[in-house]
Parts: sequence; structure tokens; C-alpha cells
Amino acid sequence: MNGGDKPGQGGMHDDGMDNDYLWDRSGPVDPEIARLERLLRGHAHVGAPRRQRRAAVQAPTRPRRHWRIALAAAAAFAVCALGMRLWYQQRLQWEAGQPWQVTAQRGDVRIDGRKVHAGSALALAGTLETGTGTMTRLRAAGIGEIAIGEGSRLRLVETRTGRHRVVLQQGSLWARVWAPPGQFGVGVAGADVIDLGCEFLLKVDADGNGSLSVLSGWVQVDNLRREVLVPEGARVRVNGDGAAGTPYAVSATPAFVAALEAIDARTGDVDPHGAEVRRLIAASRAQDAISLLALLRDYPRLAEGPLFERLAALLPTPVATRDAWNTGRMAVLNAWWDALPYPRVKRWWAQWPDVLPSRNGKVTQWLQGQGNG
Amino acid sequence: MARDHWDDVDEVEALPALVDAARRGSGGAQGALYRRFAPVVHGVLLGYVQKADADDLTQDVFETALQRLGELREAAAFPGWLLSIARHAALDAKRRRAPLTGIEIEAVDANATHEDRLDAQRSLAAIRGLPEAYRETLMLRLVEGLSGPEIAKRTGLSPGSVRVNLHRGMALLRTALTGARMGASVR
Repeated sequence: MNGGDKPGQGGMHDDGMDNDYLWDRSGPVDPEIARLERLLRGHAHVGAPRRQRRAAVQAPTRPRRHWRIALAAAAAFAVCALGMRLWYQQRLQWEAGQPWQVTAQRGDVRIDGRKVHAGSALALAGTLETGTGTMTRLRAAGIGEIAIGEGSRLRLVETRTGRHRVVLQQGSLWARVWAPPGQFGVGVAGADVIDLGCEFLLKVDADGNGSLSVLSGWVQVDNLRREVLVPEGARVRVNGDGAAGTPYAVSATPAFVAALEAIDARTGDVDPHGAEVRRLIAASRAQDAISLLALLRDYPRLAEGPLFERLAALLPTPVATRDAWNTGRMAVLNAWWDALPYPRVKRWWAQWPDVLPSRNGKVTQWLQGQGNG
Repeated sequence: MARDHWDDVDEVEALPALVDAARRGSGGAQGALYRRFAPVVHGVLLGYVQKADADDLTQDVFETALQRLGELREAAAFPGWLLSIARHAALDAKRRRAPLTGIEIEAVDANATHEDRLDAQRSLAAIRGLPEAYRETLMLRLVEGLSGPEIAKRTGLSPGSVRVNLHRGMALLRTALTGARMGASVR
């Protein structure tokens, strides 16, 4: 209204300028104005008391002081954020083909037949071998670390910013990686094991048969036929012929694992009401939901039997009905997937403890353990 | 709302003293400023945003104004200064896509008929379509129920300007409402 004089200037002779009702309600009532007053009075200020959140008026100098504190805090935050970003970018950078440093070793460890000593490195296309009772640790480029157990053979096949790949021909490998999903991967005879921001333990024999156990985060196992996501606390069989199994909780009962392996051995081609399925359901617990979900995803025919109701009971969601399954099973699978009690795959950045070095004793125990972690 | 002795003093002459007292932290003076100017702030805000948002923003504007009162050099300039804070707050709120409250339909008198509600909506829309000076003056007169002399005292405008704004704005509003009614009857 500061410019209020302008519109009115020169307009003193407009129609209705003598309308005193509009000015101070003193003249005859103008019906249209009275009607508008009646219609619009409900929108007037209701006279609510003033909010007293910050009632006291501050002295003029106080805000300036607060501003200084706020600015200093913002500057400190910006510097920290910039430092973190630079450190993080630096961490992910890796010159193509740059060797991986050996950080620790015990016993007779060889790279391309030559004995490893302090300061040795595994070059691109180089093969690292460990003998009986030995163990070695390496920095996985700048994004993490790996440890190789006894009787292992590992080859570095690719290393550059954004992509690092090794092949575990046999033996055991522990890895802890803190990087965006997909940057680190391990090839075994029948599959590729892709890190999605995690810590895991992989054991295979010379034929490529073995298992993968996930200690934190998620790992993806790919082969030509199947893609399996394995969450923290779960294990999956890997087979040299490329037939990756169905993931199961490390705490699963032997009966459950046996029933699961029986179904996997027939690639899901079992009677949905048959004995294998009934045994599996009888041994299933809440922690086994991941296995049942993977089975229904990969072998949807099994949903014709009681497996569907069992999973619906373990992961209750209003979306999971038989009608919904029959009209569009992806929606049901997605709802179940969202109901799983694991951290989301894309939250790799939240698993910051993975950036810290791991205790040597614990890693050795995992690598030597019979239970694969 | 509890009254204070500040509510009884002359509006224009006592304003600098009232503002000074509020600046020194007098709760009574701050309350009196709020009671006197809240309808004006509310009316200005209504020219930009819906009622529910205007109610909230009125409180925000006073909170901001009372915090920044130390920056106001001339106490007599308080009305214009306060209304410029209100306009900034309204424009800031308007830049947001959705109403602050998420309410799309303006709350009105619960006893109003459906037709009256529609007419009220049309009238508000027509007022909001007027130039700022007319829009704000008519909001204060027709919605907040202030008379022309009261508007002049509480906005810092001269009585002549307010009178002109009221009459020219009303003429434009009548034209706009006639056009809207004709459009509605054609439909």
C-alpha cells in the first residue's frame, strides 16, 4: 500500500466518491458493499492472542552476536564437508593398473611364484598364492581391504577408479569395502560376487564350489541364470557349474537348509504341495523369510502351495493376497521385499564402520572357521 | 484478549511512545501493538494468501517485527515498516507451491450457505485480482471491517489516498464481480 497514492491520484471524481458508507459507514447503506461485508466477515482476523514463542525483544547487539556464531558454525561445517568430500573423492580415485599393497602376511605367501616380503604388491594380472598355515592382507585399491586365507589362489584382473575385480580360483577371501555399490567384485568359477557396500567372506574349492557369507551390508551373486541378493547375516551356496543357491540365514536350522538345498537341486521344479516344501515350511522361522521370498521370486509356481501363506504370515503386508499375486506378482514381491528387516542396499554410506580397519584376529578366525563366518 | 492502558491512548499521537516502550521490552506495549495492527497485517496478507495461512503468517510477522524492532529508526514509521514485513512474508509464502496449511478451500463461516461461500470465494478472488493499493485497502475495509479513517491511521497513508483507493478499488471490484456473475450465468 506504500504506492497507494498513485492509483488514486487524479481520480477524485470517480463514481461513488461521495459514497460515505464506503468511507465511514455514515451515509445510506450501499447494498452491494453491505453484502460483501456480510460475505467476507468470516475471513477477518479473529483476534487470537499473540504467540509468545520469542516475546522478549532482544537488544540490537544480540542478533549480531548470534549471527557471528551461526556464521562461524556454518563456515566450520562447510570446511568439514569440503574436507570429507575431498577425502572421499581421493579415496575412490585409483590409477588404472596400479598394484595393490600387501599390508600384512604370515607364513609362505607368493606372488607370481616369488616370496612376498614387506612392501610387496600385487600387480595387475598377478597371482597371489598362500600355502598351509598362511594368511595375508592387502589394501583393495583405496576402497577397502581383503584378507586371503591358507591354500588360496587369487588373481587381480582389473583395477581402476570405479571398478576393481579379482578372481578367487580357490581358497578363502574376506573383504571389507566402503564404496558405492558395484565397485568391487570377486569372480569365482560359477559366478561373480559383487560388493554392494559390505563385508563378506567367500570360500571356494578348486572346482568353484563353496559359499558366501555376508557379515554386513549386501552382496550380489550373479551367474548366467540367476541374480541373488544376500543380506547381512545370510549365506548362499556358490557352485562351480554356475547354479547359485538360495540365500538363507546363517542361523537357519540344518533341517531348513537341507530342505532348501533339495529344492535348489531341482531348480525349484518340485510339487508346491510336496514333501520338500512341507519340510521347509515346518522348519522355517521369521529369520528365514529371505529364503522363502527368494524361492517365490525365482520359482513362482511354488506360490500355488502353502509357501505363499507361510511367507504372508512371516512378512505381513496388506498387499500380499492371492488375488494380488495372480494379477501382478511383482507388486506383492516388492511389498515383501520392503518388509524384510534388513538395511536398504543403497544405504552403503551409512555403514561407515566398514571404513575402519578390522581386527586381525577376528579375520583370521573367520578365514579358518569351518562355518564360513 | 486482555487490554492494557496502552489500548486507550490516542492512536496516532501515542504511537511513537508505544513503539519505544515495545522496543524496551514492555509486554503491555507489544500486546497493544499486536491488537491494534494485527487486523491490518491480516488484511494485507489476505491479499496474497488464504485465510488459514494469513492467520499463521500474522503471528509470524509480529514475531519478526518485534525481534527487529531495534532496527526501526523512526517510531512513527512503524505502520509502513510493519506492512512491508507483512508483504515480504506473504510473497515468500506465495512462492511456495502449496498453501502453508495444505488447505485448498478457504475456511469460512460454518453457518454460511453454499451459495454464500461461493460468492465469498469469488469476491476474494476478484479483490486479489486488483492492483495492490486497491486490493489492500478493500481487504481492510470489507474483510477486516476497518473504516476509511482507521485504515489511514493504521497504514500511515493519508486519508485522501485511502478514500481514493477505496472508491476506485470498489468501482473496479463492481465491474469484476459483474463480469464474474455474467460468466457464471453463461456457464
